[in-house]
Amino acid sequence: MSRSSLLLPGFAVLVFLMAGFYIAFHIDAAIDSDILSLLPVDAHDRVLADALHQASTIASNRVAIAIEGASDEQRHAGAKALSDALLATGYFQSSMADGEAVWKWLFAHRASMLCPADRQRLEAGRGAEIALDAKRAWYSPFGMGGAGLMKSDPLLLTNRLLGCVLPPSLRNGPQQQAEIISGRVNASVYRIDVQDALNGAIDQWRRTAVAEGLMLSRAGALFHATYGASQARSEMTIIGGVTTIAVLVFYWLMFYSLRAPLIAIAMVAYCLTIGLAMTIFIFGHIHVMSLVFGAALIGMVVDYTTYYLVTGFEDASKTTTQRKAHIWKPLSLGMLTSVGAFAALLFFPVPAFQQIAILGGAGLVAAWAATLLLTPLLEHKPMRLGPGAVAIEKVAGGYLAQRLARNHASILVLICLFISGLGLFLTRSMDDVRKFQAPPAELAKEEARIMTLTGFATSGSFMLVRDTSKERAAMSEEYLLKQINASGLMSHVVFASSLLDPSSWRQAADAALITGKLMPHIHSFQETMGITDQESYKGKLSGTALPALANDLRGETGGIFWSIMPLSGDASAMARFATSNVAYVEPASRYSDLMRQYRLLAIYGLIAAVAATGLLLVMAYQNLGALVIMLPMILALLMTPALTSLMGLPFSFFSAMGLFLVVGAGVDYAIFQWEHPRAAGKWTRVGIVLAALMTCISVGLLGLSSVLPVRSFGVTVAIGILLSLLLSPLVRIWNAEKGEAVG
Amino acid sequence: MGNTAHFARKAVALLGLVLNFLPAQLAYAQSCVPPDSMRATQIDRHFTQKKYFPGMSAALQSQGRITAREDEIVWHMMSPFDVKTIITSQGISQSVDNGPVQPINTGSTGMGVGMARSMAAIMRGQWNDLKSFFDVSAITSPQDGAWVVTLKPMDHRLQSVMGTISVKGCVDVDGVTIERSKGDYEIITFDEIRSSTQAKTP
Repeated sequence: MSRSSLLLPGFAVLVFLMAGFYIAFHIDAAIDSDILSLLPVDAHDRVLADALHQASTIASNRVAIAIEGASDEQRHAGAKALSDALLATGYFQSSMADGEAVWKWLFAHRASMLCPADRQRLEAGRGAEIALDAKRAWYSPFGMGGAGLMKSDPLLLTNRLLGCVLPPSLRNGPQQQAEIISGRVNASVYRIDVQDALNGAIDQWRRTAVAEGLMLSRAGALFHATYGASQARSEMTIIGGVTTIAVLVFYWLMFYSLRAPLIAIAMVAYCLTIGLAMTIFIFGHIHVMSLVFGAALIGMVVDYTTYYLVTGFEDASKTTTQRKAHIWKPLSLGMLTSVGAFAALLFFPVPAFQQIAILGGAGLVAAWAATLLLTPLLEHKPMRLGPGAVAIEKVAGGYLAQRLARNHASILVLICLFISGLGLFLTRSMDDVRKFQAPPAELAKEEARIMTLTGFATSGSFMLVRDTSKERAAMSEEYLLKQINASGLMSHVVFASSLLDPSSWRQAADAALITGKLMPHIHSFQETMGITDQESYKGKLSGTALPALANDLRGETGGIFWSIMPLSGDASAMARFATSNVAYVEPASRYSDLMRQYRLLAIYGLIAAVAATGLLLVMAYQNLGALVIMLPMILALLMTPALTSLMGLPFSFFSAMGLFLVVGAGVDYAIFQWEHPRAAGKWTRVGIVLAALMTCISVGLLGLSSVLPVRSFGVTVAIGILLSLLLSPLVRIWNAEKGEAVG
Repeated sequence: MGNTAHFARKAVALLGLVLNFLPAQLAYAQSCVPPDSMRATQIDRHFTQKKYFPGMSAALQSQGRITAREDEIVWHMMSPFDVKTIITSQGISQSVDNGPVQPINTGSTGMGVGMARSMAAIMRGQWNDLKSFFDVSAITSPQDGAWVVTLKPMDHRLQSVMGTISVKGCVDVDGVTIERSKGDYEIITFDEIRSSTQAKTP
């Protein structure tokens, strides 16, 4: 073999090695398990999309743990040990730290902010009450203020603000029957390494604590994400494991050699490595469900190797170049249509599907290149005919090779159309994101316990306020709070950023009230207390950062400033406050609505994808008759939703996504049937049966997933591929001449 | 003989002296309860609290009454203001000028609530409970059995706010001194002791 002929294969190996190193250095922090990555982004309203994302991030990063049982002393000690262990991971920040940041902020703004009740007091000229409260507090046996505070804030205005602006989660006093550890995770809770670190600390603590009689309840997206990731891991193991075993068994039976399955597995490793590296390179991370799909991709990428290997059955005297030429056109066309179908997923703003598009697309291009460049080198000499190949040829070959009479074919098409029509009545759609994955019963019980202990439950819903400037957005939020307060619904408001950082207008008004109505009382106060310092509230502190508690609730998208106000309980009554710049947002309903919109859009997309495939085929064959290649795939597309409905799976956006792959991969079998009809395609047909079998096994195993989107996707692709294979003889009805000529 | 008689007289006198003082000494030593054994179930005392701040001409002095039952401690500051603070297992509430009892908003006085709970535990001698938050050490006087228990908050944030707490006592808690940074300190003394104290069963 000449050096120049090794140049391209050498390059292919170099690309593989680089991709492998890239993955090794990035995989640890690259795996994402956020269920929201499976949901579409609202592309029409970027502000709402950003707000939804931000609300989800804030909510997901919160963690609460309750420790009950044993004695008070053991609970205290247990809570301290667990809190220390969580802090030691570097990913956990206690609510205590939030409280400290809020104190610093309020202290810096003590002369320009007022609690609503104090504002009313001062407006009514009752500033003396605030001074009297301060005196009582200073004399109180439990007053914690020192000389420093006496000098800088003798009227204890910071304490007053702290009492009215803090959210309930930070206001919880010590529990009697339980210790509560609360805080936030300072990295994405959907990162596997973050989950492992925090859950590892909890598990380590549990080993000793349970023996002491301590019980633990957990609440937070961290634990749901961990459960989801663990499920995905086991699904990945099952799918990857079963598919690998299937590859080993089928390939050995097909080619009667261990070389064949080893080549197939090497090709799978090659394609997945390059696909994974590309995905992480482009997105910076990969969703765990995309990885599950990666396991299913095994069955698809191995097809190309099969097509090459079976060419060795036909004529042992054929050279490698001749064998490559034999499959070059159908393989390339098949790859292009499949990559095109994957590429179509990129147009839908669902992060996980965009990753699948890159993983699948890059993986198939790599499979195509590796089949042509590396498989011949690894094969060394043509494979022998195995018993599996003979059996497939005997059982399926005859069926696939048949040439249906036109009237029979027409009846078959009519039956298919009848089933499809029936499907229109049978198929029910499902867009409700709340039904995608049932939460584990144990976690639901623990969360309910924490809600009972703390009396606090977030609803996930929020008010979204937007305006053209930060100041105007803050003012709008303040006005909204005033309305909510007047309606007696304030108990639903978890927190609002303007409570901690009011508008400049509000701050100026409060500062004027403090100066005009409260400061006159400070002199008599200081006289009674024996203080001589008169500078307590003069000058303004600067450089104090707005605490994350408020800062995280604000954002800016394309020049629009917005803030979100998290709500608790059944806050649907808040919808009445909606205006042109205020919206009540219930994320689950919003996502469900988007699901419906994108499901419909995906159907239009499928029509476009079929049209594009047709155009590609006409261009490749320069013949309008080549459009018949699409007939099996189109019938499969029409019948699949009806058959999945019979299996109890509703038609969702994810089913539609699966149909895109049926367009791309399903047409491959028809292309090979078209290219190698009758006797000439004897072993090709064996190849496509093996390819379809592998795809159906690997993708069909996704049907075992506990996550509905993944299940729908897998079952749809498997049924669609199987139907495409079974209907592929239809291509021969209108190309008998070509078939006979070649034959 | 004279020497013998003199010796005997001296011996009897010495014995008399010893016998005269011994019961008192024994009684004094036995009257102090080690801090670990102290368990005040019922408390009813007056307290005087003085807070000293550098730069202030006089200490802030308050007086009142502290009462405790099984599950409730009431700090009633009577002078210079009338504020009643009630600490129970259900929470902490307050009544000002004999007004309605209202739960304390812990957000504004979170540390104060912690201090109130700690003081409740101190008054009851619940040192084990306090060990979760404080480093607790005790020194007992070999002369009279009186003791001083020192509590230092483990958390550095609490330490800077709460300072070091020294609890003096014998049968019960007699006084508490809190020393904070920058020269702040406060002293709480208790008198008119009418508490029923019982030693824990070993």
